[in-house]
Amino acid sequence: MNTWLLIGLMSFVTFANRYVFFSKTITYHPGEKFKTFLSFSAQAILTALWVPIVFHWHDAGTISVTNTHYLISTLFVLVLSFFRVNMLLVVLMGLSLFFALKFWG
Amino acid sequence: MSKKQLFRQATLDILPLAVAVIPWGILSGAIGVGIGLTFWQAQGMSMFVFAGAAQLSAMTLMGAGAGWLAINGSVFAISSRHMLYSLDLRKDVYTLPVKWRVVLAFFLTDEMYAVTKAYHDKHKRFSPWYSLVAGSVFYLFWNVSTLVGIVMGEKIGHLENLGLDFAIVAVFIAITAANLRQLSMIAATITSGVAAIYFKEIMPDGYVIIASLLGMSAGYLVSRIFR
Repeated sequence: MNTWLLIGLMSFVTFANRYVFFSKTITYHPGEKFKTFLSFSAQAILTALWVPIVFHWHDAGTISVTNTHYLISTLFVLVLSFFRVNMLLVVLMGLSLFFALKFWG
Repeated sequence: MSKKQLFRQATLDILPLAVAVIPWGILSGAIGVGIGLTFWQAQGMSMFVFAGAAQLSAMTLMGAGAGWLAINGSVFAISSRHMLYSLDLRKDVYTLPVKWRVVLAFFLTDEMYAVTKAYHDKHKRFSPWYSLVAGSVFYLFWNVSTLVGIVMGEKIGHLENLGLDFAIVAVFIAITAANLRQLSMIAATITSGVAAIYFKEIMPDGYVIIASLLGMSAGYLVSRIFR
């Protein structure tokens, strides 16, 4: 397939996923229970995106970490964030620790 | 809040998230030229598709010579989580004119949604301008970093081995960890995380949406039980 056509099609797919419930063609409105369900979407999705970068599943049924820098830095960032340290500061401190461990650890 | 203050607030709020995405933008541009896309095709991916994980997976498939159906199936599976964002924001966006709905949908990423929700929680209202500014600042970072990746191209080598993916880990933890004071949120987080580790091995395209739906169900159940 022509590359531009493919890019166009992919753009349509990503846009359609984002636009679908902004459209007036669909008349469905989520009820209270479903809204409660949806209120967990950001938490669940962001977690599903980051956790597999640090942890991996093995066929034997065990879970391993990418390596120890990932684990230590992840725990560090978790603790800082839990106590609501400013987000930019958390990211910068987390990355500093991560690269310090990586290059000098 | 004046419009100027609102714009500044939106920019500041999205900034840490936009910075964390820079390595992925660079990677995206470098992979684009690496699989033989022209300058504008590689840049066009970021300009029009505008979906990090979906783009990276699509380009990997293109490089491997996969067919258009497989490529778009993968893009659909990876970006289907945006439907949940779309559904959640529907009540606020539904009444806006069509041009607003189209523009906000275009800029609707994980990051834009996250700051939009945080703004909503804090001010108890939805601001289309706030979301638009946050979304477009993020768009700018994504596209400029893609450009850098295209220009640096092959010289970058194995960026993915540098550990730059930790930036996204740090940001996403920073967004989610403060919620870990509520039992229902803890349930959603643990379920989604463990499910994601497991399903990534067997469904590399669908694991995010599957793990998220499981996590959301766990959060919902716990919130119903402990009301």
